[in-house]
Amino acid sequence: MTRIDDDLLMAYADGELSPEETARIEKLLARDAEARERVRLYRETAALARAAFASTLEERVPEALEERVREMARDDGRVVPFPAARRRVLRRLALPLAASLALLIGFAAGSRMQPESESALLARALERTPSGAIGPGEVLPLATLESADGGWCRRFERPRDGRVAQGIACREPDGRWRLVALLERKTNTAAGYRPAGGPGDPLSPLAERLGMQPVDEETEAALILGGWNPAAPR
Amino acid sequence: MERELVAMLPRLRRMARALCRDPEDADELVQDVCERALRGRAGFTAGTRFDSWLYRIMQNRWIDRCRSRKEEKGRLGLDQVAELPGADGRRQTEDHLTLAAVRRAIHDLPEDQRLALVLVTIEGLSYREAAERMAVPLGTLMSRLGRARRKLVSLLRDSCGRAVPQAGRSGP
Repeated sequence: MTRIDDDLLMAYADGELSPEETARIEKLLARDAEARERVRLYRETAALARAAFASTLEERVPEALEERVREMARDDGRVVPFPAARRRVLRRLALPLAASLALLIGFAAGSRMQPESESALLARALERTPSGAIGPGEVLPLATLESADGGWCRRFERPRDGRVAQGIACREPDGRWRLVALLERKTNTAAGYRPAGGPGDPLSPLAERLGMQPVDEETEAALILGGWNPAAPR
Repeated sequence: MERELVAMLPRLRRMARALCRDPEDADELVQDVCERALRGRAGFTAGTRFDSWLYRIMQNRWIDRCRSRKEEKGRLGLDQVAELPGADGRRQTEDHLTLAAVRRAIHDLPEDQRLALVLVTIEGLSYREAAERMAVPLGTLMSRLGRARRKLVSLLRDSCGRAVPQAGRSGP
């Protein structure tokens, strides 16, 4: 048996291959335990690298640093007036309920988000991007949830063309991500910053109603590390 | 912009921590990036990603700093780690590592490999996006990323000593 190229295995582990290439590699992997181990190592190194710095997100930003930034911003603000364009800055996390609101339940991934590559991007982001980080296609997973029947779901956001899509998707046993809810809103940039998941985010109560429980960062890291396999060792 | 910048601080600090060995250097880098962003706010195109813009500034500032400092520390002549070994070492990386060891190992990577790793795994860019960001061909990005990860495995293994056999574990 010829040894499968490392770069190819890495691209496979990272979900970077086309469906055709993926299928081809999976066929080879099925009878190559050594290559499977290498894929695992690539997945692990990625997950470990993410996990290694995840705690920084939870840390309190040193007051001195934050104060310094505010100070610089104010000083600068006096000298240079804000450009008018500022109003149009997309604030991904700041969106109170605005005009267009459509809640779609039981939506199949892909049917809404245009061509197939879109749902593939979404799946890739949900599969491997930790909450709070920006994944492929600018998808920002917000949280990982355990569904009532023990499956795994994720809440996510994706900004696009002045609107933001917020959704919940659940992972099927076959590894596909199914969109459970999708909400699209206009970004109302006149309003101030409001963290996603806070008041005004309608998907949190929806997740609750569906019996989904958020999992902690460690559990999420382990799930990503283990390829969302519930039997994966912690 | 003050509000958006402050909201971005945790994520900027995370990337800076991954890039800089010393946490104080990391916060200095964050402050430097904020200063540049405020001074250069005219360079931000409305409607584009604010966070990507900041990350890009951070990347450039970090590279400048590295160049001026020319830190050779951490280059341990490990460029020759050719390929991943098979099954044997894996359990160790999984079971016997602390995240501190991972951080150390990442900081020991050469800069171009560290950056490739940070862009793809921490910032979550696709290969293509990361290659564009680093202004290198896709193949170069992949080779840096692959070398970074193979080296990570070997560094982690070194830092953990001998493999401890685990009972009752079965692979897929």
